[in-house]
Amino acid sequence: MNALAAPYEIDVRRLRTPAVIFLAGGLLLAHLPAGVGLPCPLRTLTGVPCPLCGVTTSVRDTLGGRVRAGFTAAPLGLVLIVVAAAIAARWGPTNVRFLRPIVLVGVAAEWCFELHRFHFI
Amino acid sequence: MNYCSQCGSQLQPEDTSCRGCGRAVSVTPAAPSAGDFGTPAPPPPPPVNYPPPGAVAPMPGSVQMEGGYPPPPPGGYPPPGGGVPPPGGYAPPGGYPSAPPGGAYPPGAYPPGGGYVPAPGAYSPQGVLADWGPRALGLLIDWGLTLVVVVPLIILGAAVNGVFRLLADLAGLVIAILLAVQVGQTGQSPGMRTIGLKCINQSTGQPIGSGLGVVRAIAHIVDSIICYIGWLFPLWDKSRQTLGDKIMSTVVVRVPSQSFSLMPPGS
Repeated sequence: MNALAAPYEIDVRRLRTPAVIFLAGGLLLAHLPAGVGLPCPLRTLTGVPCPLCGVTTSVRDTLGGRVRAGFTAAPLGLVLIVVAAAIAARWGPTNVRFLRPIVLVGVAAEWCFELHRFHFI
Repeated sequence: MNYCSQCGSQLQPEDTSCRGCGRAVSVTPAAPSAGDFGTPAPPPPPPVNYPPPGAVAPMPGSVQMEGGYPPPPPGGYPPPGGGVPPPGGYAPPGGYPSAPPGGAYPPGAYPPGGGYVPAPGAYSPQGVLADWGPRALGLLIDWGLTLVVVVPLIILGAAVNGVFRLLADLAGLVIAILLAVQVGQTGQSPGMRTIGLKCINQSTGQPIGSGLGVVRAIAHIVDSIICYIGWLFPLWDKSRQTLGDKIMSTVVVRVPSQSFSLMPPGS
C-alpha cells in the first residue's frame, strides 16, 4: 500500500525526444492506410481490448484532422497529443508528480470506455 | 543594546514591552565593553542568523572583535540540527560525493534548488541506470540473433516441409530460454554485453540467477500485454524499469561494453 501511496515522479525533460517522435509518428500514420500498427497482444489472444486499445486509431484520426473520430476511438489519444505537444514545445513543468491512485482511476476509466466501445459492457 | 530576557529579541530604548513575545520589558543589561570580562548575560537565541557551523556564538552585547567570524551570508547560516535551507542550499557534511562516471546524483538526494543541477540520467546504489535507448539496442541485437536462426527455418517451413515451421518455433523458444538463463547467471545477454548493460537485483546488486532470469523473461509478458506500454516505462520511470523489472525487482545498469560474443567470456 505504501508503494501505491507514494507519488510517481516523472522527469519531463527525458520525454521531449519521445514526444517529438510520438507526434511525428502520428502525423506519418495519418497519411498511411488504416490498419498499420502493432496488434494489441491482449486483444489478439483474448478478444478483450486493453486500456490502451484505440489510442493508435485516435492519434491517427486526430492528427489527420478527424478530431471527433479520434475522441470516439479513445479520449486518451487526444490527451496524449496535447501532452506530447506541450512537452515537445517545452511548455510546462520539468518535473511532474502523479498520485498513483489517480493514474489507476484514469486507466480504469479508459479501459471501461474501450470495453464499452467493443460492446463488452 | 538591550535584549528581552524571555525571548532574546532586540529591544529599543523606548520599548515598554517586547516586540517579540509581548512580555513587559525586562531588559538584560548591555554587555560590558571590550576588555571587560565580567559575568556575561545568558545567551539568548539569535532571532535571525545562526553562527557559522562549528563557531561559538557571541554573547549578546559583546563587541565583535576584529578577526571574528565573517558576516553571515544572505539568508543567514543554517540552524544547528536542521531548518529550511536558503535558496543556494548547503553542502552535506563532508561535502558532495564525487559524481558517478557519466551519471548524475540521485534525484532528490540534496535540497532542491541548491548546489548543483541534476544531469540527465539516473544513479542507483549499483551504478548508472541504463536509459531506454541502449536497452532497446541491446534487445534488438538479441532479437536479431534469434531471427537469424528462426527466419531461415520459417522460410524452409513454407517452402519445403511444415516440420521446419515447428523447428522454428522450438528454436525461438530454446534461444529465448538460453538468453534468459544468461541474463540471470551473468546479468548480460549477448546484446547487453555488446551495448554495455547489466541486469541486477536492485537490492543486492548481483545477477538474479538463472531460474529467476527465466521468470523475468516470462514477466516481460506484462510489458507486452497492454499494447507494449510496459516496454516504454524506462522512458519516464525514475528507476528506468520496465513493468517486468518492477515485478522482479531488477534494474539495468551501464557497464563497460564488450565485443559481441554468444557466450559469456570465460565460459
